[in-house]
Amino acid sequence: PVQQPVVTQTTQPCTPQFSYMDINLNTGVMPLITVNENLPLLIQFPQVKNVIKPFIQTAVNELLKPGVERSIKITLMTVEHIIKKDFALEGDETRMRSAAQQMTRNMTAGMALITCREPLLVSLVDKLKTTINTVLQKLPVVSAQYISTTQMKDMIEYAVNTISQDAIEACVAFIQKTAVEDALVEIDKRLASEYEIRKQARAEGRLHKDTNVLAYFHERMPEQIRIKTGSSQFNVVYEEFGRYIPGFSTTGMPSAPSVSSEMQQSTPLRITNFSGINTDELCSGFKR
Amino acid sequence: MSLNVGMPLSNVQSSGSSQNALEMNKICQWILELNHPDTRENALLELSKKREVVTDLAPMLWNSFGTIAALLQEIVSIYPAINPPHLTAHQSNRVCNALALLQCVASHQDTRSAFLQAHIPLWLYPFLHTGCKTRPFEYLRLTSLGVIGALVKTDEQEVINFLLTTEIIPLCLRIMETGSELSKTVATFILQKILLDETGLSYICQTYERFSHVAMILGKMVLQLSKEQSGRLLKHVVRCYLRLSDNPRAKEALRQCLPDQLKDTTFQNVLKDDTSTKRWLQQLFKNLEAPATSNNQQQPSLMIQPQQPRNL
Repeated sequence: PVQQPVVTQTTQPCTPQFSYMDINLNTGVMPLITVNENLPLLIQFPQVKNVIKPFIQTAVNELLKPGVERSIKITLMTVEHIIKKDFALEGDETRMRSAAQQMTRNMTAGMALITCREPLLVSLVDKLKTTINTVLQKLPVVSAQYISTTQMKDMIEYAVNTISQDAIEACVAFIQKTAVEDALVEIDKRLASEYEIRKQARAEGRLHKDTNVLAYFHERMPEQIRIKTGSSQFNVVYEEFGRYIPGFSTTGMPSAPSVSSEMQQSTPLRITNFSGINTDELCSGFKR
Repeated sequence: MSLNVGMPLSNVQSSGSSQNALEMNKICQWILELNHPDTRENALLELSKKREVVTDLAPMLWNSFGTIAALLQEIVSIYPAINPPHLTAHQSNRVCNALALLQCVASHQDTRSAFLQAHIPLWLYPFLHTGCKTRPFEYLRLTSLGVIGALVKTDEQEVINFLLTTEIIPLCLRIMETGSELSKTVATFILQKILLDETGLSYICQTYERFSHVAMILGKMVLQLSKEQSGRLLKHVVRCYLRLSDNPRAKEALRQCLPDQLKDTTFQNVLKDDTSTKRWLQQLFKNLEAPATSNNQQQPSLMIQPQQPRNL
């Protein structure tokens, strides 16, 4: 049963499959991936199936470090500057931190998505093809000649493309979340001294304000758009950063770290828009 | 579609008459409206129309609360539409209005440094990396190039130093090879501006790989231009060659790889009324003819290695 190889190109906007909380960094990507068992190649050679998931995890691991590092580096630089600027006159460090965390989460996820998706898909397709061929060659029933027939090549091509397309979103989401979780720790470090200055000022009964910034506003900025001291800022734009994460569905959003000092990792896991996944397995691995 | 590189900001004063005060009120209101998702799209449109008439729009955008964050939000929110590619015309127009405001921030001397320090240009690079030929993508690439073009147009050392730490040169080279005529022109203009800077020239001529990549793309462009002639694009290409010839080692290499089309009558028609490009071309030939001066001998030949640049 040979099907025509499909062109791996999606032109339809895809609805994100996973919510941020669906991704468990401890269990890896394997539980998130369902391999379509009805692929002709897998029906004919069920042995191939066993190597696919571990292979995908390896492919993700290879791209993880450079992808995460690059996304974090750019995001931290931008977020640090913009937050320091916008919150220069803000005395409450929890508001500043909440905004920084929401912006970091959103922008790191976006940068990781756009940085990793294409190279990861290319790598999956290339290497999966090699791996499947290697497995097939080891099977006693398959001759080298048989593997190189057009029919066989098409069947492998079709399987590789389908498996890669089906897996790519989970893989990218895994890299995105890894990047985000690292970035959230790092942005706290970068802004620690800023938070400290504000705490200190409050302990001494003062309200923190950057006098240089204040002077600039009074000299240069029209009254309407000046940032006011001590007033609670309208934080809409930063709340908006927290309302969705690029590449993830909006259900099961992590909560904003407004009061508690730790990220709320214990938020109940919600499985959304996704079928064919072992819920128990995922949940059990989620307890940290 | 307007190309903003090369357009001077007009100096309409932002204060004075009561009409201006009224206008300023509106500008401030739109800036405040950028914060709210519901009012942002209209505010982006209105402000991007005003960016060339309000002298101090850039510091107002930069120093008001949340404005730059809102513009970044616009950029990142379309990342999921870039790959797989399904950017709509509406999405493209909207983000291009946000980019137009960032271009304003990039151009203004009071905000340029902060803009670079926050590494904001890097958020545009994913758009430059796209290869999709549809109009929404083409417009997005062109507008993103416009922001980088506005940066280099200022001739600030800081800009070149920043860009050299990023992958802008390979991105521009790719667009110079495969982009639309307009995109190619802006990308070549950016390369030209990098080359005109001393650091930029020595960066590109530092290794054989860098120089030969640039020379290869310029050569391809000359070949393409000989089929589809464009005076404004040719002008920038010639200027790039001329500037490369200021580097002694690049000059040696160019003696062998300068495309013949530049030497013969291929571009006679396009060049007929363009005296400055004709002059640059003559100067280029003169530079290439000149023997190595004693000045050059102080620098050992780094670039001309055993392998010579291939003929194009």
